[in-house]
Amino acid sequence: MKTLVIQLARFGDIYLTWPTLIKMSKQLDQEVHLLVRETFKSATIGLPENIIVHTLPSVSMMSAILSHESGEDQAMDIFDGLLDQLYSQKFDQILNLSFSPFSSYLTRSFEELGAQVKGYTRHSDGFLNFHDDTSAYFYAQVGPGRANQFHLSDIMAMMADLDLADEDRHISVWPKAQSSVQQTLNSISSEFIVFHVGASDLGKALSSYQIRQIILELLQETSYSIVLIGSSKESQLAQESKPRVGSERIFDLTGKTQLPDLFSVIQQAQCLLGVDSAPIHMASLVDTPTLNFSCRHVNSFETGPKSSKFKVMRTKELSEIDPLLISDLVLGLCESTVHAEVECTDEERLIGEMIRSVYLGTPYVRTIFKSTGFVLTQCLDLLPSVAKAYETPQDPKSRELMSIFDDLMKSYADSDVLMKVIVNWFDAERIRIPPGTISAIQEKTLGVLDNLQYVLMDWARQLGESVQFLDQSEDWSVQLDHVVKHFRFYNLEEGMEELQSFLSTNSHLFSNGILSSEASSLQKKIEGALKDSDYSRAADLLEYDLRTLLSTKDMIA
Amino acid sequence: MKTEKKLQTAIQRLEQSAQKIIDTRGYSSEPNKLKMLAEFIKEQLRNEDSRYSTRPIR
Repeated sequence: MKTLVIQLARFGDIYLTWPTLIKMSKQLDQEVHLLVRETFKSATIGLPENIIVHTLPSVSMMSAILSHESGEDQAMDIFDGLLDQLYSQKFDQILNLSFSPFSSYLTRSFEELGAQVKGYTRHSDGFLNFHDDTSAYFYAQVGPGRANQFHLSDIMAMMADLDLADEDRHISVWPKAQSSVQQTLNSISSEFIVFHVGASDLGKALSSYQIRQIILELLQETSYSIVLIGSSKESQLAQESKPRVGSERIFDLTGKTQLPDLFSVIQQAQCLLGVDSAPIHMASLVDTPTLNFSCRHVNSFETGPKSSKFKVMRTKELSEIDPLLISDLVLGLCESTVHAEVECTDEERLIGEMIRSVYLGTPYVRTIFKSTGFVLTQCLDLLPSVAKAYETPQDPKSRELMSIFDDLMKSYADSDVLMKVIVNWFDAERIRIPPGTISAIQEKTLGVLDNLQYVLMDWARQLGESVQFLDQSEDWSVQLDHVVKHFRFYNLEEGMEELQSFLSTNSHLFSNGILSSEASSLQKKIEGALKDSDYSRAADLLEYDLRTLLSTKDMIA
Repeated sequence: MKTEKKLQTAIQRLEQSAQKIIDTRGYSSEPNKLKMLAEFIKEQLRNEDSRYSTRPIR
């Protein structure tokens, strides 16, 4: 079997692909080829030699496009050169691990030549498609803010029909560091920890002040020396971050290493500290304990460390990281008292269960949010008429209902994290419907709607046996009392805060459908009163009109 | 800024050419290749610009 693995993302993703590539390359019947962008080729140094690496000449293609008016033709010629080279290999299988639009068109071109494909590709009419369930799962659930809790390295392995054991995650051979780098390491008299000061994305980086505070804390509370790593662009950040005290224990390698050198540097360290970036994944490969700083822009479950020992410090924003906690965590990692897992909130635990229910068939979660019951019931009530509408798709009334249903599904996903898992799964299943005659598409769509109904009914049945609510928040009526009281007594700041909180925790009560027009007209009146600074009137509207409206809605629900 | 405008124009030209072929002859390897190049440029704008993470393009 001759397989081309397409990995056109950046350094970190290439390293996340290593366990899959290495395991594939050990299979006797496999000839593994890998396609990466030339800019990121250095992340392939150290892979087994029997993996054949091809590069996308992205730099020369871009230069051609930018060089003159119709540079696209020249770029296409360069690209054709690569395609001819790849097509001549006559690959049996394409494993697209890039999950991007460009790679999906590229995969499609191999599919047209008869290769089996896994990963994002295109339907025969050019629309996005995925044949395999793992890619459908990826499309539906993977990414920051999404529900996925499987590590990306495992998802990639799953796509190659592999299962990664612990030993598959780590490598036993890695490139040696260049001599100047090794000399610096040799000159360090004590054990050292490595601190990656940068990040590929500014939203995921620590500030120089934070880095300095963390370094000071480590110098004070531990006996380790500290080696700073990062690209040449991050040298200035490292300079700004270095404290003046204790500098003899700080070794700055930023801008002095090539990417493959970092394997050796990190492997010799007691521990690596860093944000979501390539060194974290290199540490996982050489199995160095890792302290990962993470924030809401990152899904730690899918791109966090995978060393035998790691800890993820999760905060909403990286600026919230408390430097005083770092030394204890580093000592815990070095002394094996820290376990390797990403700590879940109650909500994340439920979402994880929900994912397993929908995709793996485990029992459904019976602890739900108050909003979940409402949207679940509403969706189940609506589904028979939606299915009927799909039987007569040309009818304007049917079209209107189908459009309302699409909007409702979106609002369910926005307002309820458990329903979001189901809505995203449903959307991915609809995308997989291939082009065809109206009746064929109709039949397949009805099949997907049927599946949605089975899933929801099954869940509702299990909830009927026993249900608990996760949100311990006060009843909306009590919350509304607080808002009204603040406005009556002109505690405006508190009033606005309570109102925001009331609106976000009770968004399901304002969702489309029943009483939505009344709610919308009332909302305008309240906004008008607040705009006019007429807080007494706002309090009246909230206390009398909104309470009456929501009580009616509660009764209907 | 000038570079970005040039790239946007190139993307637009490639997408229009692809659409013209699709409208007349249906979807085939030719528009697939044009779309591929258009998407390559779009991704390149993000992928090799270190201000962005790769994640959003997935």
